[in-house]
Amino acid sequence: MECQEIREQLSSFLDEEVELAERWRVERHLRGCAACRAELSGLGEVGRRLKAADDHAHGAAGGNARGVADGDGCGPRAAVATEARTFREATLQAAREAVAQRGRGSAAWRRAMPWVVPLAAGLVLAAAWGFLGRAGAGRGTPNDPAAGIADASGVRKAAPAAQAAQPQRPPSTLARYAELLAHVDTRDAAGNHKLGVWCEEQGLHAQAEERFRHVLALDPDDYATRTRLGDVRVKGAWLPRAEAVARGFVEYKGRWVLHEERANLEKGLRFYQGEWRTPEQILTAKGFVCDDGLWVTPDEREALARERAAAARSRAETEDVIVRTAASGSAPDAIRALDGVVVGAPLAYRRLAVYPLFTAGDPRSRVITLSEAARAGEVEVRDDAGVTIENRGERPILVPSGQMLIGGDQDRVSYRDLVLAPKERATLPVFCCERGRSSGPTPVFHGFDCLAPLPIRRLLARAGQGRVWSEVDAFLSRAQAQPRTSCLRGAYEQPALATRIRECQAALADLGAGAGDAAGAGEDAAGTAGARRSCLGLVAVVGHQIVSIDIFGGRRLFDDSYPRLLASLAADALLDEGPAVAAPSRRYVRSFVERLGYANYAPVEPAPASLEDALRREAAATNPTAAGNAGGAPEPSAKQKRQSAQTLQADFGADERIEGQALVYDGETVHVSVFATTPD
Amino acid sequence: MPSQDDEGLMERLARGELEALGLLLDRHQAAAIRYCRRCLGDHHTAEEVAQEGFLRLVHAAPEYRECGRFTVYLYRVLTRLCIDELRRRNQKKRLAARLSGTPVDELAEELADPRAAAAAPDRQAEGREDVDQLWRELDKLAPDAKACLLLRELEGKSYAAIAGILGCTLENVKVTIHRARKRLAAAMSGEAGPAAGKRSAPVQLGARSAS
Repeated sequence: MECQEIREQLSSFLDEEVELAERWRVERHLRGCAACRAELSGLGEVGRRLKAADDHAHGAAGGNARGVADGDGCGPRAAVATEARTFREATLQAAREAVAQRGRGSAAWRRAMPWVVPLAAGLVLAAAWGFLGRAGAGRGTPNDPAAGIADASGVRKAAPAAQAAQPQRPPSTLARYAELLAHVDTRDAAGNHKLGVWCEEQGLHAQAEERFRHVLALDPDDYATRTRLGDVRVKGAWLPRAEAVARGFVEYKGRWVLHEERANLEKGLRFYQGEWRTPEQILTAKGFVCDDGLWVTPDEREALARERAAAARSRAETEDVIVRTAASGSAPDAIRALDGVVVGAPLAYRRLAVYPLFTAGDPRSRVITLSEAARAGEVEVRDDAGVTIENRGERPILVPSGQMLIGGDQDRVSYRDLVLAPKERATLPVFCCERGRSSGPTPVFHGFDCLAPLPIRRLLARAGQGRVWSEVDAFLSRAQAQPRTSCLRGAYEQPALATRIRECQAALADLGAGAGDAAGAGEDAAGTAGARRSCLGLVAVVGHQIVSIDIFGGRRLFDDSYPRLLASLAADALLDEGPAVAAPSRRYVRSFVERLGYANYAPVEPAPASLEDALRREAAATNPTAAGNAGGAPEPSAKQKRQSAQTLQADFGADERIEGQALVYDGETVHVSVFATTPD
Repeated sequence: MPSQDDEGLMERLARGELEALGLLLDRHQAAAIRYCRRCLGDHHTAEEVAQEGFLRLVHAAPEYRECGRFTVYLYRVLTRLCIDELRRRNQKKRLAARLSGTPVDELAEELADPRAAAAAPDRQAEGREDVDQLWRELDKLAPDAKACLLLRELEGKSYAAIAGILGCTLENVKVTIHRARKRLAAAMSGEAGPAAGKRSAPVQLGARSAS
C-alpha cells in the first residue's frame, strides 16, 4: 500500500517538487524498498534519454535544414547565425505588415516568409490533406493565448524579476542547497525565507518557491515572503497581486481597495455604518453638531455657548483652562497625573495645531532623552544579536516608543517606552523599518534625532512587525518617497516634506512661551517657584481631530523631545493638503483630556518583546504556581521593579478609541503618550 | 527612460514600437524555436510556429498586463500553437489511415513525422533505434502531456511555471508528468505489457481549469 502511494510521488520527488516532509517520507521509504528505487531510476532514465535524444535530433534536424547552407560552403555555425538573422528580419517585416494591415486580414505575415510556406506545405503533404489543415488561418483557435491572460492571474511568481528560463543548474548548486537545507530548522520561518532568497539568487526558482511556501505554512502572514511572492494584502487577506487586480482591486495610498471604493475615497468619503458618507455626515450620525465650524457634542455646544457668553463679558481668553480628572477605577495611575494640568493657547501651522500642557512648578526629572545622552556621549547602541543599548553615564535615559535608530544593519524603531538606569545594558524592543541596505551595515547606530511619523507611532503599542511594515509602506507611498531600501527615514528626507517640517518647527517653536508668568524663566529661578509653571506636554490637533497627547515627567525632557514630536506630527498633518481650519477651543481640548480619566480602560497585554517573553507568559498563564517558582519565570529584576510600563487602551464611543503607553520610573511618571484612533 | 525588461518591451510594443519586438526576438527567438522544434520535431514547422507566436505578441500586446513573467506568457502562446499543430497532425494520421486502410501507428507516423523519416536511412548504422522509439512514444502522448513533459525535462521549467504555461493546476502538472514518464519508462524497458508497444489510453492532461 505504501509503495503505491510513494510511487505516485516519485516523479515530483525526482523534480524536487515535493514538500520537505513528503521528501523525507519518500527518502525513508526508498532506503528500504528496492522495487521503488528501481522505479525511480526508470523514471529518471526517461529524462536522461530524452536529453540525449534531443541532442541527437537537434543535430539531425539542424543538418537537414541546413542542406542549402552547407551546399554554399558555409559552416553549420555560420548557417545558424544567418538563419537567425533571416528569421528575425522576416518576423519583423511580417509584424510591420500585420500592424499596417491590422483589421484587413490575418495572414499578411505569411507573405513575408515565402520560403516557409512551400517547405512546410511540402512536409505535411498539404496536397493530399490541405483541406483539413486550413493552412495558416486555421491556427487561430478558440484557445487564443491572448484570451488566456486572465487565466494566468493565478500564476504565483517566485521571483518577479527573475528569468523563467532556468539555466541548466550546475549540480554543485543543488548540492549546496541540500547542504543549506539540512542546516535550516524546519520551524524557522526567517531561516527558510533567507534560504528561499538565496535560491532565487542562484536561479533555483522551484526550490525558492518551495522554501517560500514552507514559510507561509508556518506563518501565512509573513510579510517579507508574501511580498517576495508578489502578494498584496487585500481586506486583511493575502492575494497574488494579479488576482487582486483581476478581482478589481486597485492601490490607493498604499492600500488595496476596490475601484469604486477608491473613487469614493478620492472624493473624501468614508465608509461608515453601511454607506459612504462625508466626514460631516459621519459626525452628524455620531450625534455631533456643528457649532461655528467646530463639531461638538450637544453638551459641549452648551458649554461653548456659556463660554462665549463669558468671553463676551470680557473675561480673558488667557484664563486658565484646568483639567479636572478624578480618574476612575480602571484608569492607570499615570492618567491621574493629568489632574491639574492647564491647557494653554494653541499655536497653529496649516492643519496642525498644538496646545501646550502646563503643570504647576518646575518638575525636574533626572531622566534625559536618548538624543541628549547621545550628544553627551553617554550611550552606545549596537546592532549585535538584537539591538543592545548601554548607558555609560550616571543619568537614566528615556528611549520613547517610536524613537528611530539610524544606522546599524538596518534602521529600527523602538516600540515601547523604556528607561535605562545608569550603567545599565539592555536589549531594546525594536521593529525594523528599513529593508536591507546597499551601502553596507554598520555595527553601531548613530542617529537618534527622529521619532517615527504619527501613523506609525500610534500603532506601536500593540501592532506587530508585519503591520508596521504595511504602515511604513503606506506612509512612504503617501509621502511619495521612494527610498532605495524602503526605510522610514526616507520619508523625512523627501525634499518637499522636509521643507514643510522645517517651516512648521520654526512657526511653532515658542510653544508655551507666553502662557505662564514665569514659564520662560531659566532653571536658575527654580527656588522661586511660586505661581510659575512649566510646559511639559502637548495636545496635537489635525484639522478638527485631536490626534495625540504627549506629556513628560520634566521640562527638560519635553523641551528636548519637542522638535522631534513636531516633526512626527507634521509629517502626517502636512502631507495632505487641506484648508487651514480654526483650531478647537481650549475647553474642547480640556474635555477630551478629562475624558481620559473617565474612559473605560480595557486590560491590555502589550505585545511580547520576544519569543521567550511570550513563552514565559504562556507558562505563567497555564501554571501560575510553577511560574512563580525560582525555576519558572525569573524574579523581576531591579530594573523591572523600578519601572512599570503600561499600555493604555480605551473605547471612547462606538467608533473612536484611544491607545497609548505610560511609563513610570522610580515612582515618577516619565512619559505618557496617547493616540486617538479608529478601530480597524 | 522606459523600462528595458520584457514587460517594458511589451508596453512599448503595445504603443506600436516595433523595435521592441526586435529586442524580444534577440532575447527569446533561439529558445522559442528550439522549444517548438522539440515539440514538433522539424525545424521548419518550428520556425513557422515560433514566428506566428511572436506575431501573436504584437497583436496581444495592448491587452498584455503583467500577469506573470513574460517568458511564461511566451511559452503559453507557443505551447498552444504547438498543441494545435500536433492535434492537426493526429487528425491527418487518422484520415490517412482511413484512406489507405493501414493501421494507424506506423505509416501515418512515418509520413507525418519528418524527423522519423529523415532519421530512417541511417537508423541501423547509427544504432539509434532506441532514440527513434523514444520519439515515437513521445509522439503517442496527448499533445498537452507531451508539452508538459518537454517543458520539464528539456526546458527545465518548474511545476508552477508549467501550470502557468498550460493554464492548469499544479496537481494536474504533477499527475501528467508522472503518467507520461511512467509510460515512456515502460516503453523503454520494453517489458511492461499493455503500454509498451501499441497504443494505450492516451495520457491526457487532467481536468483543465482554463480552456
